[in-house]
Amino acid sequence: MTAASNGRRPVAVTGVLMALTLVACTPDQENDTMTPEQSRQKLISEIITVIQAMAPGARVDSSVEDRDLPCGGLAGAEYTSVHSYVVVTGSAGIGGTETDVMAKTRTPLEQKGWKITRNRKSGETSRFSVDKPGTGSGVLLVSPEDIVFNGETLCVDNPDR
Amino acid sequence: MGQGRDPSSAASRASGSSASSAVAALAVLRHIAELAERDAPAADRALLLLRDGALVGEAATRLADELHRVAGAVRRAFLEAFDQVAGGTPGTPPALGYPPGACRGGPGNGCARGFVGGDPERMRALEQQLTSAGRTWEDAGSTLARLLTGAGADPSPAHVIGQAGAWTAGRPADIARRRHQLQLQLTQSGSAALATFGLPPVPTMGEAEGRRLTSGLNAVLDRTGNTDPATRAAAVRRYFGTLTTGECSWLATHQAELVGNLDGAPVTLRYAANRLRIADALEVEQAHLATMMPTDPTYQRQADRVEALRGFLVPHLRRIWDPMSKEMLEIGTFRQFLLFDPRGDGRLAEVTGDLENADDVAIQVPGITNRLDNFSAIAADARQLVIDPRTRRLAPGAAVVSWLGYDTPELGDAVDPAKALVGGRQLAEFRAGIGVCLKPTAKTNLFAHSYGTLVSSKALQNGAAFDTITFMGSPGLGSNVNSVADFRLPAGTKVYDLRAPGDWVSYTQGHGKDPADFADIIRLDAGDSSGHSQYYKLNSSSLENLRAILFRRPQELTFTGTHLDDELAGAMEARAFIAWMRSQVPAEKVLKLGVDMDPIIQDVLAGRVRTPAEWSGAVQRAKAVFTQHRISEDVTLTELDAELGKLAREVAAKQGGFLAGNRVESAVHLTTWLLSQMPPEKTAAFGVELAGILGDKSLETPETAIKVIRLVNDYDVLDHITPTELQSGLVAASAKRTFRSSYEGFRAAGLSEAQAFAQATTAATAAGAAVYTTTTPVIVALGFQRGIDNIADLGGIGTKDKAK
Repeated sequence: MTAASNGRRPVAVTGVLMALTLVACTPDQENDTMTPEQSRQKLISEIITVIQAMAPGARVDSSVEDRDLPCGGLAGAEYTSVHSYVVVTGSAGIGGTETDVMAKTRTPLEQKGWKITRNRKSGETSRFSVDKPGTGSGVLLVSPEDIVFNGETLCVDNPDR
Repeated sequence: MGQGRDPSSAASRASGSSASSAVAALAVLRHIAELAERDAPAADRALLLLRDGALVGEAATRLADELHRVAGAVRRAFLEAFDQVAGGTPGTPPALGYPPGACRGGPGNGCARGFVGGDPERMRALEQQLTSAGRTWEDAGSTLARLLTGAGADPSPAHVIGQAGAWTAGRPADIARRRHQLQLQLTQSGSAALATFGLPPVPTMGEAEGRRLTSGLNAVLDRTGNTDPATRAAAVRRYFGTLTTGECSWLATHQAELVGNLDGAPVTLRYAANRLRIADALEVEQAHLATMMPTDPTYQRQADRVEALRGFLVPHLRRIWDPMSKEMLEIGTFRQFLLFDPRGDGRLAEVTGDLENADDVAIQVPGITNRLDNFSAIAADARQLVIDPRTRRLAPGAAVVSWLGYDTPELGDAVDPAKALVGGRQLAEFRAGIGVCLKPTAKTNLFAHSYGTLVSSKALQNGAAFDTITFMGSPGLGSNVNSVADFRLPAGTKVYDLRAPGDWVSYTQGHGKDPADFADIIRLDAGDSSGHSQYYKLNSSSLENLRAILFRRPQELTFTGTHLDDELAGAMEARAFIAWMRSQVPAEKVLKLGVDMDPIIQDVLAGRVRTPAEWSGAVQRAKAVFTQHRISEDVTLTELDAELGKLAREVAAKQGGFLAGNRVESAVHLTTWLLSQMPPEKTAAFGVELAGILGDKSLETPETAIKVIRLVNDYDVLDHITPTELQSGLVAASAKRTFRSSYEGFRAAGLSEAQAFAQATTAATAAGAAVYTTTTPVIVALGFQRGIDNIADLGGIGTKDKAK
């Protein structure tokens, strides 16, 4: 039995590791169950559904612009976790007053679980900053001619590391 | 295909309508369906690779069209074969779906065009997939032919599939040829490098002429060796102005080492020179990688360097949205490097946009842990700044320089300002040198992040001039900078700061006062980013603010005046705790400690520490580091306990009231008490498992109590403390917590100090008694277990059940 309760032991390590544990649980690393490819497919497919609901009949296209960018580590620069940028476009848009655009955009987004964090209008284009926990985030640009989504997948564990 | 499984002989239609022939027909149908479902999609992966840009350009479009058509024909042939044999026989046709489009929207409909190229690695994967698909279909065709013939059916669908296989198997040769061409381009000639940036080829030139050009340039450099960077760059620019375009091309290709990083040289010449240097470096680094064992701890980073260098030579592909044709068009943009030095972690400066004609220029300065191997992250941030989100085209008139021109610290030496002092001088020189290549009216903006803010601070103190300066997630700008005024910047210079909620680097103030707390700085909103690395997040107010600065749209800036506590609960306390730690541990010791702790921290952050055993290992390693640096001389358990307890209480109290605060503080005290009794590594593993068992359950639940007993037993906790001591610790923690909360409650209710003390003492005694009563069954059981163990030890009988 030992009871060196007041010894000057190197127990500061506890504090450091407690802090690390807290840091390691930042939202950046909230999702480690999807592969990078799954994270891309999930974001793309969910946004395609939204765009098809917003503009039925629109031809939808998607691409992955930057894949597997590093986002791991304390400074978010290591390949232990990765994320990607995707672009999804719809060939038809939404016209009308700002209220019309808002209504026709907000409903499909919110029905699919997306949250509009901010929106503003610039010329003919309405810009919606959107986010969906467990899926990703991005900016949805809605004009009378087309809909363009620039998105960012979640930062997920890199299975190769 | 397995002949043994071929039931075709039993499927003869000649047997008429007998039951056995019906069974045989069903067996054939089942075989065809299985074959179809397994082999019809053989080329789908190749189609997906094409969609992902493995090969782009007209050839890719043609291949995608053809392959899509062939894959559809194969599916139809399988269904036709099935239908033939089925006749009137009931059977479930194979579910084959449709081949994936190689382009969304269908082949030939908005597919890649305008650029011919691809990704060598994915091209190789495409070759393998096509080879495999070809063989699969050829085999499937043979098998199906036997099945159909045996069943007395027309074998032509099988021939279609066999031909599809032959055609598909013939495609990889063409792709391999294109891949080799592409790889040759990567390690290209000087003329190709020049052509990449619109420069003329090198004219035929004699040796003497070449020597004249080189010595002329060297003379300029010698003459201006002792002047300031701007003067020297201007002299270099003037010298190049005296040369013909062909002579410039000669210098870029024959003196690439000199021209690549030479301030004042026309930027396109630097891009071409550095392209050649990168190709050379790629060869060297690939060769080095080939000598390494994959088990080498540095292997992965070396592989990343090779991948990064290869990426620098391949155009960045982007699909732009054409509102007129309503199609996605693929374009490739060649990477432009103003600075390239692969030594060490690498030094780079990449330009996104047309630098020499830009009206608005941003220079990004990144912080810790940025290197050549992970440069793609910074480059992607730069694109987010200047690409129009709707058209996906580069915004005209703007350019971003991603400047990684200094040796960034890793986590371990991030507390050392030495690299910032050197980096600051390098940034100031770069800024001065690049000035001669910009439009005189160009507006320059400095976007600095993390340790890069300290580097930028040093650069500003070295005279670097910018129209706007933006700090993000700063650990401080040096102990001598406590306000914007301390920089003595020219009038009109705007200085902004962004601090995201939860940005732990801002809390450290490791290099001085957080600029977000400067009275004279302009705080911009970064409220929807979080942590240290989301300032360029696509949908963030932070990125919008950076874009508003770059594109001179002040009306779009959004401001904030939040305090730490508004941004994240506990941030103020975390900052106070870090400040306390810094006050206790000498800076030079922190530096050494940081270097040695770095790999452990990396393991924790990378998620490589998960299980109790791994946590135990990590704590053991950390303990060794702490012991080596004699941190215990600076921070004792008692001191740490008091500070952590205070921090926990204040944070929890703000969120859940003083009772919650006291509860959390007690938990901290209990943890540190346990740590004082057992080795830290054992406590860590024990704690992880105990938390897993307890969750929100109570010790009074029999199953939970039994699990805790077994855990205590498994970890030999009783080797360090007796059950009675454990119980005393629990009782004392509860009594202390109750006393504190009760006392404060009674005082808040208006009781005098003496009255509150008496009442709180009573409450604490009652709480302690309650804990004593609740835990007694567990403690008695532990005591009993300990007795059995002692007897077993005496008799050499192993009764401990370590299995959980």
